[in-house]
Amino acid sequence: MPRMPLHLASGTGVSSNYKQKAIRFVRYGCANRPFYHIVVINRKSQQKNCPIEQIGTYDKSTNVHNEKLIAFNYERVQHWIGQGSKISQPFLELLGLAGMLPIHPKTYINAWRNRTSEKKE
Amino acid sequence: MQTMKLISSNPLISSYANIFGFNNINFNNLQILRWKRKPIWLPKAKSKLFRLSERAVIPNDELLEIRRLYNNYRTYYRSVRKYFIQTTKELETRYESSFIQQMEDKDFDINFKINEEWNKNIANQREVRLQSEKETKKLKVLEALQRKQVREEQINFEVEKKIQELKKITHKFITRENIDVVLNEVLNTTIDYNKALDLQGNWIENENECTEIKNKADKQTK
Repeated sequence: MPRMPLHLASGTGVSSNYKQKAIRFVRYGCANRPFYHIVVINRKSQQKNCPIEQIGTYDKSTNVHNEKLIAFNYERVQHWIGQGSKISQPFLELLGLAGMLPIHPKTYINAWRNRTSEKKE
Repeated sequence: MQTMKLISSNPLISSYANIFGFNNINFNNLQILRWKRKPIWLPKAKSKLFRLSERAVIPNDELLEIRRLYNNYRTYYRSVRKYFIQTTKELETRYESSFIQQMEDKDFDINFKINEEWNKNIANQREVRLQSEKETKKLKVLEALQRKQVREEQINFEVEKKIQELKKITHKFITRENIDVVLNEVLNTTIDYNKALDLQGNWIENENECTEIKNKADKQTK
């Protein structure tokens, strides 16, 4: 039985001042084909619970032109960071690559590790 | 027996079987053989009990580099975050509800004035248009009236003509006064319709003559 969400994927817009928020991915798509929504959600709620707001989307799998596509709302991200919400590490990395924040050290680390593994081969 | 075999062969179920004893198995609590994932309450597999995953060894210089990167990142990120917090606060204070209301009111006033101007223009245009429409309608009605008059005159003329024609032949009508005369006349003049027309256009009024001609024709055909 597939799980049928009863809320809008684009967010309910209902947020409490007393709960900490997080910006993170929610995995949609299907088996072996992930597709992520970037959402603002209460930090302690589960992945597929109703989000406060959907900020963007992220398609992890490459398309015909060998691109991974991400789209997000800069202003809303800025706003929610200003509200004090936490951001998950994968999204921080992407924000770094997008040029909004400094580049995350994990990207550097992965890069040099990939380079060394390539050399060994 | 088959179920017993299954139970003994399957480690997942055998743990249950040990607890309850083989003779009184509660089938309600049995784990179904096909599962997607090992249930969380089952213990660690015996073969994997003492397995330890190897710790990743990071060389010292790399570790130092990573630490440096993370420290830098944290400071940068903190400063950016603080800047965002500040900007959002500023925006909140700048766009208070009363200020927004004020702006909206001002905007509404301007829009209202523009709208009134438009309305005036449109009203003028409408007046002109209605006037012209009224005139055209008036003309149309007048034309229709004229046409009607002409038509009625025509009808009257035709009726008059018919009446005149009828008046001319009134002397032929049968009235109370001349009915006897007419009756006499009719009785005296009998018309015999028992006659035939031959191909040459001659009337044959005598019946005997007619039969003779017919007999002749019959003979010829025979």
